[in-house]
Formats: sequence, C-alpha cells, structure tokens
Amino acid sequence: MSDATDTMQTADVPRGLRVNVVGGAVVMFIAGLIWFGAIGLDVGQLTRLGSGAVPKALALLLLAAGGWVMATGLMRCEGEADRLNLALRPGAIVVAAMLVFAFFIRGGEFGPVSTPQLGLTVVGPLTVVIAGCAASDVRLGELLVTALGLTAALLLVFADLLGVAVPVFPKFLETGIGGAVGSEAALRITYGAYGTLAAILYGLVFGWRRKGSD
Amino acid sequence: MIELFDHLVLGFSAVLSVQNVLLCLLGALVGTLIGVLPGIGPLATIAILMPLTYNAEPVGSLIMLAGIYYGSQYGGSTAAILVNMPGESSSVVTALDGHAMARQGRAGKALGIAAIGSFIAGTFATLVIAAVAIPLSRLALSFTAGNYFALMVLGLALAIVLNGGSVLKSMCMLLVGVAMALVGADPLTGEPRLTLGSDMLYDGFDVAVVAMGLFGIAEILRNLDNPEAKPFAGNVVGSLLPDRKDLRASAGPIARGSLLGSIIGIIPGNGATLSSFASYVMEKRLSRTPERFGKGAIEGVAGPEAANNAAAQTTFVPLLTLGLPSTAVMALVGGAMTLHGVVPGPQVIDLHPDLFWGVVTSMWFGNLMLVIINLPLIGIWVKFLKVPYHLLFPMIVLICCLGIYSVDAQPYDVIQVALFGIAGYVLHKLRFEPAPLLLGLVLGGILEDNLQRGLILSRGNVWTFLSEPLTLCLLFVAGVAVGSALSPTIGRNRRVLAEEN
Amino acid sequence: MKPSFACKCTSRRSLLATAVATVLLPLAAGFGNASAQDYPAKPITAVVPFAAGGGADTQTRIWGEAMGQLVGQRIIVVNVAGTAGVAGTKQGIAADPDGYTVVMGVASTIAINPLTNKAANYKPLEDLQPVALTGYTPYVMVVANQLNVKTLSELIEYGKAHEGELTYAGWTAVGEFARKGLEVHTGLKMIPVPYKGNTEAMTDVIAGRASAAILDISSALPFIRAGSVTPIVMTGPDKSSALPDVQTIDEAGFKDYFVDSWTAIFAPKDVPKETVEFLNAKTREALQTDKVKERYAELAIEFRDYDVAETRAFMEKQIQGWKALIEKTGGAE
Repeated sequence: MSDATDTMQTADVPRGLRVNVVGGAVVMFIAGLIWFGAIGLDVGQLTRLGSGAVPKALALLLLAAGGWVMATGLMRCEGEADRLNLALRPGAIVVAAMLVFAFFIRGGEFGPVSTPQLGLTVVGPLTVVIAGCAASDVRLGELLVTALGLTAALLLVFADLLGVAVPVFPKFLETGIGGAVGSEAALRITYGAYGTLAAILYGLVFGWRRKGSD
Repeated sequence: MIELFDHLVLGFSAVLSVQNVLLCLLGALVGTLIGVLPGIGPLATIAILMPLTYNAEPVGSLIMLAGIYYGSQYGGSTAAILVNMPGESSSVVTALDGHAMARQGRAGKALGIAAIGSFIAGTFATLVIAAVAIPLSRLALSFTAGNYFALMVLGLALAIVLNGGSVLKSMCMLLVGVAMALVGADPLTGEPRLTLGSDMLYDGFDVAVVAMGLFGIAEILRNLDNPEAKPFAGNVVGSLLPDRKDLRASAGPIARGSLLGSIIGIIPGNGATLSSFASYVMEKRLSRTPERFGKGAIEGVAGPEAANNAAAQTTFVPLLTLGLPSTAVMALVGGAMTLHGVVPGPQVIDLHPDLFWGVVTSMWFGNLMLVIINLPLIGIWVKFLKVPYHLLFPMIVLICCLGIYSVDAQPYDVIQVALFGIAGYVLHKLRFEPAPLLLGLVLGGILEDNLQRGLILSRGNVWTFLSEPLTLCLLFVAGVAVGSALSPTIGRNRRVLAEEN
Repeated sequence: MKPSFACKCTSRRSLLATAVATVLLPLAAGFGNASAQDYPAKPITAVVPFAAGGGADTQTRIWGEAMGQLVGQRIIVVNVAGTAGVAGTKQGIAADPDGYTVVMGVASTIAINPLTNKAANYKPLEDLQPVALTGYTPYVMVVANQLNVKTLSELIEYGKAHEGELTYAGWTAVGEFARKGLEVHTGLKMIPVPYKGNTEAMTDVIAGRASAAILDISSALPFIRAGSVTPIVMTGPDKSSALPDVQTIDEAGFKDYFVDSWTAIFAPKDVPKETVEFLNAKTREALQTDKVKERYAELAIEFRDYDVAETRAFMEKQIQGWKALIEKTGGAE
C-alpha cells in the first residue's frame, strides 16, 4: 500500500517535517481534544463509572503513545525520520466536490449559512466535473460525457425505478416543472435529455479523438 | 441428525417453487447490482430495495429479502476489492488484500475466491443453523457483560496484530477509534458527550461513513497524489478466475473461516466484523509466508470472506430464535420480516415452523444464487477497471455521495465522508494504518458499555466481574496475542515487513 | 451501470442505440399519467425521523403500503435519522406545505424532546398540525422470571425485602422517565443499568441478570408469549386485548402515571385544511383494511378512530401528561 516515491531516505530532514514527529503531534493533539471534550464529565466510582472515566483514561493513554511516537521520530530510528510530503491540491478539490453535493443536494441551514436546494440534476454533473479537475490530466469533454451520463443513469435507477427520495430538481423550478408536465414526466424528460446529450457528446469527443490519433 | 434432515425438508418444501427461486434470483441480482456501487453498503442497499419485496406473499418476500441481503453483502465485498470502498466494517478486511490483488491485475481471482468462499461458508453455516439453532440461541443468552468485555478486549488485541507496521502506531489508531466510539448523546438522558458542541456529532460516528472516508476516498486521494503509479493493472494477469493452485491455497482458510464465522456470528454484537478480523489474523499467523499479507495474499481474502459470510448467516440465529437483532442490518431485516407478518421472536419457530425453516433454507438459496450470478459477472466487473482512472474516480465520488445521502438523508454524512477522506490520506502519509481505528470504532462502544454495566451489576467488584472462566480465558488469549506481537521473533517479522515497505 | 465506458472497445453504434433506447422507453411511459390534477397527483413522502427497521419505521411502512393502494400514489418512506429524531422532525416542519410531505411523530419527538432536548426548539402543535393517529402502542413493564413476582405490588414488596438488589434495564429516554416516574409514584427503587439498545437489555432481562424493563408492547410481546419474561403491569390507562390478564397501572393503585407511545402523521402547519381532512379520512380507511388489521394484531398496536380534532386533543393530553411526569421526576434521582 505504501508508495516508494513519497519517502526520501535523506539523513537530514528537519525535525518538524519528519513523519513520526508530525504523527506523534497529531495523536497528542487528538488526545488533547478528547480531554477537552471530557473536562466537564464525571469520572464516577467503580460501582458507577461516570461518562468521563473511559474518555479521560483514553486521552492519557493516547498522550503517552503519541509522545512515544514523536520520540521515535526525533531520535531518528530507521524509516521513521522520513520527510512528510503532502499533496494538497487533489484532496482539496475532491473534498470541494463532495461539499458541493452536501450543501446543495437538499439545501438547508448549515450553521450560519443557508443554501438552496439544487437537486441531483444540477449537483450530480457539478460534483463529477469538479472532482474530475483533481486529476493531473483534465479532459473536459470526456468529463462532461461522464457527468451527464452518470447523472442520467443515477436518476433513472434511483429516482425513477427504485423511488429513492432524493431531491431531483432545484427548488425554484420544482413547482413550475411539476405543474407543467407532472413531476414523474419531468424527471424522465430530464434524464432522457441528459442521456441523449451524453451520447451525442460521446460521439463527438471520442470520435474526434480517434480520428485525431489515427 | 434426523432432526436436521426434517428441518431442511420442511424448509425446502416451504420455499421450493419456481416463483420463489426466481424471486430469490432477482433479489440477489438487484442486491448485487446496487450493493456493488461504491459507497452504497448493505444497509443502504437493503433499505433502498425493501419496497421491492412488498408485493410478494410472505414466503416469497422473505426469500427475496434473503437474496437481497446476500447480494448486498457480496456487492459490498466487490466494491471493497475493486476500488477499496468497503460499504461496512466487515468488508474492511477483504479490502486489505483484495484490493491489493486488484491492483496487480488479479481482481477476478479475488472476486472469484470471495464468491466461492462465501458459498462454502454459507452452506456450512446453514447446516449449523439447521442442526443446532435452538441450543445455539441459548448460548447467545448466556453471554454476560464480563464475557463481552473480554471478547472486545480480544478483538482490540487482534487489531493491533493485524497490520505489518508499528505496534505502537496501531495502538494509537486503536485508541483513537475507541474514543470515537464514545462520541454522541447518551441514549437515556440525551446528554451529548465529546461532541465539542457540534450537532453533527450528536449521533456519534457512523461506521460505514468512517470506513468509506478512511478507505475509499482516501484511496482516491492517494492515487491522485501519485499519477505515475497506475491504480490498476488494466490487463488480467494469469487466468481470470481462481485456478487450481489458488483453490488449494484457499481451502484451509475457507474451512477455518467458516467455522470461526459460524461461532462468532451467534454472539450478539457485530460478529461478522470481529470474525473477519479474527480470520485474517489467524491465517497470517498460520501462513509460512506472513509477509505476503497486505500485498495480495489470496488467503487473506478467502478466510475473512468465508468467516464474514458464515457469520452473516449465523447472525440470523439471535434474530430468528430470540427476536434480538444484533446489528443494524439485522434490525432492518427484522423490520422487513415484521412487515410481512413474521414478527421475529422466540415463538416464530413454534408458530410458523415452515416459515422459520423456510427462511433458513432461503439463506442457502441466496448464497447459491450469488455464485450463479456472480461468477459470470466477474468478467464485467474486471472490465470496469479499464475505465480510465481520471473518469472513474469522479464517478465513484458522485455515487458515493448519493449512496451515503440516501441512507439517512443527511447532508452532514456526506461532509463527514469527505473529512474522513482527508484524514485517511494524512494518516497514510504519516504511516498510520486505518484498520485498527475502524475496529476500535466498532468495538469501543460495546467495550465501555459492558465495562460500565458489568461493574454496576457486580456492584463495583472487579473480581466478580472478571472471574468467570470464559472471561479469563478470552483475556488470556488477548494477552498472548499482544505479547506475541511484542516478542522478538514476531518483532523481527514486523521489521522485515517495514523494510520491504 | 455505465455501458458507455465499460466496453469502449466494442461497437460504438450499437451502444448508442442501446443508450437511446434505455432513455426513451421509460420516457414514453411517463407521459401517460401526467394529466391527473387531483390531489394526490404524485407520490407522497413520509419522513420517519429514525433509522429504517425500528418500530416507528415499520408502522409507517405498514400504513404507507395500505395508504398507497387506497389513494393510488406511492408513499415514499424517507428515514431522516439524527439527533434523537429532532433532525427529521425539523425537516418535516420545513417541508413545503403542499401536502406531499408528511412527518411521522412519536411520543419522544412530539411530547418529550421539546421539553428535554435543546436541539428540539420547535413547538410541536404550532409548527406542525396533527393529521391522524396511525397507531397507539401501550407500554408494559416486564420482569425477569427468576424473580418470581406476578404483579407490581409483589415487585414493590420484593424490592423492600431485598434492598439494593433490583436493577432496571434502560435504553431510551422514555424508559428512563418511566423508571423515575415509578420511583416517585410507588417508592419502588431500582438501580438503573444503561444499555445501548433493546437487544442487549432484553437479553439480560431474559437471562435474569437485570430485573425489570418498561418497553412498548410490540417489542415485548414475543418474549411474553414465549414465557421468557413476566409482564406485571400495563403502564398506561387501558388494558391491552393482547394481554387481558395484566393489570393496568390504575388497577395497581397508582393514578396520574402513564407511559405509552403512539405513531401519528403530522403535516407542516400551512397545509390546507381539506388536504389534512383527506389524509385523515384515507388513513382511517387504510388502517381498517384486513392486511393492516392483521399486522396490527400481531404487534398488539391499537387502532384509534380519531378525526382531526380528536387527534389534536389526544396530542394535547399526551404532551400535558409527559410534561407533568418530566417535571415531577426532574429531581427524582
């Protein structure tokens, strides 16, 4: 599972960037969080353990274990002093795509912000396209085909065939569309259109590519 | 023995009709098709497909439900193997070596051995249930808080020995997992605990959500991080399905896994997960080449898959004979049975013997259908890996979001999966293994719960709490497991592993 | 799922044809029923504020199936689990008042949470309107067979004789209030033992490791019928036809105490009166079909033929009762 490219066996990695130093610090930070969360909780007695007993014990154990991990990193035992390399871009983009899905599929209150419902017809392609931008080689045409085709398929299977109650349309269109042709017909028209569009685009994108490569 | 035979005959006569077999086939098929979608675990699959069973007669509905259940389980394993996206905690272990095999172009073999292993284990577990369901249910009742506590300690000990890396780091992950299990509101008072004031954590961490983030999404991030290393070997290496050599290597693990799973599954409290972890550790221990584990050892797929399928079967025992569902999936199945007029409980076996044994035999049918459907489908699943990765992963992301959302209709769940994806990626970079964390999360709550309860029931006397023979025995085994992990010989093995990494 | 990519290698034209066919077929089917204007013209969503598989969920699905056949539209059950039922209830409150979304309410989400849970900052009878009661579920107190007691007074006596021995298995807020209330009203002291769920709790009561529990009759009945536990008292005002020999709490000599539950349909507050009346009438009709009757009998759920006003009156009484119990037990421990 581990990939060889991200480890560099250099002897002089600054202490603050070593895998185990950072790892130990993270574990100790989690221990701190647990302790902080359990501050107000009662430890109780042996006959009636309070809700704080186990969390506090865990926090202490974790603190010790984290400290030990950090120590191994500082003292540079084999492998544990490697440099930590993180690629931030792909992670940030994929998470952004998922957040778009979460915030806009149904909309609602998220702390101070409130978001509108956009439904799967909008959020679906959006999530695929945004996530796709995380790849090192982004081909927008192919991505669009995937986005539309997959959304059409998901609408067909989940919303229509299986009747899973997932919001389909943006809120502001919902009543208008439903009133005009009935919501089931609107759903079918939509995934029909998406599917057709995906098929046409597929022909264009891939057909063109094949000609180009021949 | 005659009893066993009578039970099976009764069951088959209740179930065997063309229509019922077709219903079972249909159930297993749609269960597999939906369950295979990454991010849609068995719970979500069954919940989504439950309405399909409404229209049939009770027996037909139940047999279809059995088909859906096994289909969703196998579908979940398929997703775990193909894209490292376990839909529930019991397929986490399958992902370890199964996905490694997929990356080497041996996905077909992994899927094949999972299907074969599951079928053998399922057949064995069905026989076990038919022969001794009733005495077994008494065993489930006799488990005390102390026993549970010790069993959970043993489970956690297994988690430490599971991976090849540092024992210390596995321990850290385990403790974090246990701590996460304690987050959430107290069911009695509604008092939130360790939620740090966030409503998002009021219901605690959902195992499926954490698993999909830590494994599935993190896997995507890792692959993107490293564009040169192709996530999958597009071409099939060797034969598509397991060959004779693979089968020979897997025979032992499947047999042991079936036995282990059948036993652990009966104990209320996520036996399927525990048994798959236990089987993996056992196979690794017994293997002459333990260093292959985690890098595509077929035994590491065969054993746990057999164990978790056998357990998935015997998990029905407490539900059917006592009316006590031991997992969320079982609760859902119990709800569906109620809907069809069979209220699970101690009297089902007396009031509706035909239905009871019908359900038991339909389990076997479900397993059979699974093999029939899936062996041909494997070719298709493997082709699926030929989709260019830059298109495959955005699809996984969307399906995963939709799958999570469809369970509880909570956008927060999707946000959590995303955050755990990042966490899993960072943990990988820091060389922490996520599997112990997950087992800690599954078992931690049961651990604390039983510790607390055991101490109340024994009025604070630690000795009464721990002195039962079974408790002591389990704790002893746990001690041996951890001790052996720390001992020099195994330590050397671990070091060899670490160097190879 | 994704034919367009799984086999790029094969003929593209046939693939396209398949794709178009997949798309057009259901489309053609869809235009048929678009013209019906009368309510309900599309599926009705029933929000269940708990995970699938629980008691409220099962009852909703039983109702939904019968109701769907009656009104000619699917009833889609959506499980919105979270924050002890608060999340789903709030989603119901915020839903469009067009009659196509209803939310299921139970004693805990309607009567208890608003009094005890900070997150439940809604007023159940103002933000929602009661539509119909789908089922009334009595609660029953069961004790371990090993104790050899048959009535509540025997249990109280046993408790006095063996001080500090009785334990009470609890796994819900309702059960905890039930225990505290019993202590206030009868002086019966039991050590509360927390459980994660009904499975673990009932296992211990059956095995005799815990002494007693108070739970809904549907969950208790299988164990009672099998003789695994002994029912000693109904914690509500009425006898249950499923357990005719078990005393009610009134008969046991303790008035002003009740613990029971129910499932009811609620609609957002602005749903038109006619729609509410329609749903109420159809629900009552649906609940009297043979299939539902049969299911309800197995689960010992009682059907109450309440119109909209009676449903509201029932809710008001319930909320008052729970309020009194919660206030009385606030300092019980």
